[in-house]
Amino acid sequence: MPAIFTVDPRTGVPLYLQLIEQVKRAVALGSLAPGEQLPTVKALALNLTINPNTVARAYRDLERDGVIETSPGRGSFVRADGSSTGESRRAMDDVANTVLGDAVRETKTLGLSRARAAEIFFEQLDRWFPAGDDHK
Amino acid sequence: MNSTYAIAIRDFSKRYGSFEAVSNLTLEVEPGSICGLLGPNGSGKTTTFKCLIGLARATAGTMEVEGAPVQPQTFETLAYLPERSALYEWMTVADHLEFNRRSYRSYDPKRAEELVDLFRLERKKKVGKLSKGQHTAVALVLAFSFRPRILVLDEPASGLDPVFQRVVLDLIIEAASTGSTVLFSSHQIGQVERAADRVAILKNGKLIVDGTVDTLKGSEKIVEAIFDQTVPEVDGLAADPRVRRIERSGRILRAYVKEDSDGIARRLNEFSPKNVSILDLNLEDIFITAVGGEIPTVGGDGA
Amino acid sequence: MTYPQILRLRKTLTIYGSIIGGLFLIALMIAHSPHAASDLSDASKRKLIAIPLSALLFSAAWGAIIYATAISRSLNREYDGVEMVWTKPIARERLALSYILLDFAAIVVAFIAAAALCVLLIASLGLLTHISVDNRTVPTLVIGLGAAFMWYGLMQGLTAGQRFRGGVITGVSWAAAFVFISLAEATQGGIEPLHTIFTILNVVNPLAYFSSYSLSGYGAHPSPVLPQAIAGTEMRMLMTWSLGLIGCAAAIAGWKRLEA
Repeated sequence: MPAIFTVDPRTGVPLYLQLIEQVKRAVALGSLAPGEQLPTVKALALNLTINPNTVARAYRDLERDGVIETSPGRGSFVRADGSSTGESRRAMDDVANTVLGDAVRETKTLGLSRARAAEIFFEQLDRWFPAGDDHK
Repeated sequence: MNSTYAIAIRDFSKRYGSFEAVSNLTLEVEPGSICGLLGPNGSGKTTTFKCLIGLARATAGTMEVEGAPVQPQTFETLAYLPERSALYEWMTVADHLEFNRRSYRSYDPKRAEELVDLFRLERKKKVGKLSKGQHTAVALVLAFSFRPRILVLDEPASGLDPVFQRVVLDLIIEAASTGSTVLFSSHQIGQVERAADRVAILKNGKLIVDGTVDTLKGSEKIVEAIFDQTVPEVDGLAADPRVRRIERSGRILRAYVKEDSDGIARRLNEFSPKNVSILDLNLEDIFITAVGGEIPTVGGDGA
Repeated sequence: MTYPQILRLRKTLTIYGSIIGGLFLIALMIAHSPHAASDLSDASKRKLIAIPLSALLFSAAWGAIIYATAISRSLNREYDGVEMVWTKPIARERLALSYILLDFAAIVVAFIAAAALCVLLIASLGLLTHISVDNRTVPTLVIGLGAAFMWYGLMQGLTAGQRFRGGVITGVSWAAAFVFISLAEATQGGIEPLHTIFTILNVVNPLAYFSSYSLSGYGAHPSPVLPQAIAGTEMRMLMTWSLGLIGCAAAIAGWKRLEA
């Protein structure tokens, strides 16, 4: 099992939320393939050295959100169906929302005005999305 | 209902003469969960553990394990790790294992051997010749060797280097994932942050914080307001029950908030600050704030 | 669950064995020295040598008494490790009782060992057939072991319920035992109320029941250092064991109430 998850207990974000986001990101980016098995609650808890109930809660919420499905006795798997472009795009949007939201909040804390923040944002867009690049 | 909790401590108080070591402590631990007990030295953690397992008697209140006060038979499935070493210095590691083998029906010799190797202990060595950390390691081996359902561990990482501290955490997590309940105290807040479902913080014998790690992180925040001029007098903010304490520095006001950070933020907005933001706290920050310390500054005349 | 105590008793018996073994060898050398040999080789003198069994048991009992006082603090000594010992699936009273029974078995072993060495010593001089059972054999046996058990019980009773290290108490008890006997004897000729006071104090003094003072009187001659009511042989047999039992009961109760 590749150690593709990391969580940071020191931030203020609850661990189960961090884990949910990590799984969603992995599914969206394809590092977790449809139908692929996730580590067991016990294995992941030991691997990350975190409370097993945290992992269990994350898995429950992921199942509720339709990202994974759990069959008793067999384990938890990434949903093979519905991991279509619709689902993964939604997952990616979730992640992007979190990341950009944090960034905007930071600029606000720095005391920037909205206009100035927007300027800098577009500068960064130009930097990372050079003209002509639409998707990748 | 009492019987649903693996460990139920209700209104527990312990007095030594006129000194109240613990007052009105209520703590309930769900089966299969991990509960971390934090607190400065002398805050009553060890006293609580001792009364829970019957080494001392409570002055008031009830303490139950799986629905009943601890009896001799409870120890078939309850393991206790004391704060200071209670091992026999003149006996070897192997002697201690033999002692366990004769004491517990569910003693698992293979498991014991695994653990002895894990902690790199020498079986033939007398305990008196072991380091402090190795004393803890032996006690841990003894505690985990009979696969107890309930574990009460008083500073289980005491004296251990970081590698073994991680091993201890793994043992605790593994125990919980097989359905055992763990109640442990620690000065390593990072450990508790990772592994515990619930956290309880004691200060001077009183419970001052109690909740799941996630809930605490969700409600304990710093509300920071930056003003154009010096910070105005915010009447009664310090007295607000939602606020633990206030810090003022130049144009910045920081309110360490127990709950309802949004409400406090709204209140601060009434004073027209340039900016109000809500900052997260990790468990260590929460602990230090709740226990009421300014972190002591070393050397110089401070700020 | 009494494993540490078993290990301890093994250790103490080994040390005790070495000590009495050493004494045995010294006694052997003295007994077979040229000076002593001359006395024994005279056939007419040899025939007159009679060794009452009670005298042999009397010597052996001292070994048991000394050993008993040495191990008598076993419950108090366990206090350092109560976190281990009181968190096992056994009731404290049962554990205390087990310790006491083990200790008692060890005291009996100590007694037998000392007696065996005495027999060996006598046998080495070819005087085995000179040993005879006399009418003081049984009281000596009962009171001798009784005194050991009584001393053990009283020490346990005094120290089990305490947290402090009771080591010093054993030494003090020996000193006190000798002092009380001496003073009771010294005030014998009617120096009152001192004589009465000391004889009463001697009720809890094992040496008063078993020392040569007490054995010099039997049947019609009760011990002069005890109150008359309990100075007779039968009473001394009863008192030693009863006081030992009371001490053990107090020890169990005290240990049970103790807080860590």
